[in-house]
Amino acid sequence: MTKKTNKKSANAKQIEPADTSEFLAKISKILSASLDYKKTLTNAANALVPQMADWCSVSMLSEDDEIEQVTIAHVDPKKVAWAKKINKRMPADMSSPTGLPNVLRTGISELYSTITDEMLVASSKRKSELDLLRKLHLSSVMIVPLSVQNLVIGAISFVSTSNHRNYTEADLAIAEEIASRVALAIHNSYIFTESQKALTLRDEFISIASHELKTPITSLKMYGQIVHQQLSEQGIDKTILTTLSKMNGQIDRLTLLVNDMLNVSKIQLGKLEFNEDSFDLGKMVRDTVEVVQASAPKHRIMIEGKVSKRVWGDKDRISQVLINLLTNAIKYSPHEYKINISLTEKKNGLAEVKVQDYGIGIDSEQLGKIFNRFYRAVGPDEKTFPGLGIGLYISHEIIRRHGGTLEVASSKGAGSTFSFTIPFSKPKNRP
Amino acid sequence: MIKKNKILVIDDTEDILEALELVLTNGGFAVDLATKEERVYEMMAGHEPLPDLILLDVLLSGQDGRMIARKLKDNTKTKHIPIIMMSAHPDVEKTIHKSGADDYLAKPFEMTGLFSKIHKFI
Repeated sequence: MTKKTNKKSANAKQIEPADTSEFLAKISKILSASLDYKKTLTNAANALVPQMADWCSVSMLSEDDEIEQVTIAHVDPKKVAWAKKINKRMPADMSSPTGLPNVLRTGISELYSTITDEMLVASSKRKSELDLLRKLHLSSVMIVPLSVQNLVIGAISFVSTSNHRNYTEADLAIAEEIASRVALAIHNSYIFTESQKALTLRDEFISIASHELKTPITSLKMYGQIVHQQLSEQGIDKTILTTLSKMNGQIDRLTLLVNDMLNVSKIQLGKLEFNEDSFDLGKMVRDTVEVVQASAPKHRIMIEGKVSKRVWGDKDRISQVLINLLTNAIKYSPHEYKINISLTEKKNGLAEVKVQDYGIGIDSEQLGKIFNRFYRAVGPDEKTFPGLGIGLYISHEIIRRHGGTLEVASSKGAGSTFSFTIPFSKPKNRP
Repeated sequence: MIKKNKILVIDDTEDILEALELVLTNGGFAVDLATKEERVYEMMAGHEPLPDLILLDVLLSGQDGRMIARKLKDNTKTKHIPIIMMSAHPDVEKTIHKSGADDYLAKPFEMTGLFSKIHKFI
């Protein structure tokens, strides 16, 4: 049995100094292949056998300072289960002055170039343990810590059961280099996992918050409308009614902001849903303009051209895009009150809607950024305009998902023209 | 005296119930309010008079309004009652049709939108 094991190890190729950088590069490639840290560690341990060890295990320290053996690789794959059994039968004692517990405590590597029978006797508490250790035919051992920012999170044990291989200081240096790369991979995986958890938490929170915010908005809107109705029945001064209408408009704006927050979170998760059908684009544009015009009495929104064919898409979402473009046109035209919408049937199976304003316009440097999340336009006084900076991002995504494009042409001080296209029929290759 | 049409509103938020009571009463309806589905069971058992229309919130505390709508539509005594579901959750609308509900209203809503939906049925 001993011979057989030794024979296998003797056949195994050990690392020569010239191969070191190539081997380390291979390990790094394996470590960067996945962000699932248990999978990564298993792949890495497998790659370390037989070049670096006949038997390699990675142990991690839990938050309760318990040692958890995450993975184990053996030169003979059949012996992996056996090696795991030994680990269970002889769990590491954290108070032990040497070995894995000591490395985890101190963060200092241990190198045992030669394992003698005296060492086995000294480290066994009972005869059954000694018998087991003797059966392992250990010849040389290295244990190196896995440290992240000076914090020991685990260790890698390299075990040679071959009489031909006795680890040296040079081997230990390579093992420590491997351990530092493994620790970095674990850290990256941890950061990724935590960021994913944080994103999920954020989206759950936004979903709950949007519902909770809309509940008071709903009753507020109803009470406002009741007051408006009752006062108008009493023939009250029109100024008060106008103020109440403005309040209602602000409540609608609040609702839009809450919806935008939810939408941006859904886009991030790829969960934005569409309820598609064919619809009359011209009618949708007229209905949308009527709503927007009611809340912007100073501005005058004109519609030119027509699209006679029905278009394909989610009418409510496309209306949301148009509302966004119109409210932007109004917001960024504080002194120019004309806004033009033009509808055209293009020859490439698309209908086009253009929204043109004559407001502050957009600096050429800023043009490339305006569809980015959280981008907010800067006014002539270098102050940003109010808003979450997500409306155009959402609109761009909605149009893109419909198989169309949302584009802008603008120059500072000369207004802006936003144009979007949507298909007449359901696209075959949807993005 | 003309008998007023009665609307049962089921919503787990007291503020919404109060506001809707005011809006609907002003609109000339008799209004009945409930926060839980128990009222529906009493109606099905014949212990409660039936309303002419039900405004039903989709997500009630611990209860799914769509299930309640389904039960009402599966019951011979109540299946004829028009149900308008309401929700502050966007995207809930497309899950409504399976419940058998007759219409849907996204919160927050305009009073005109609410009344035009109601007048489609009563």
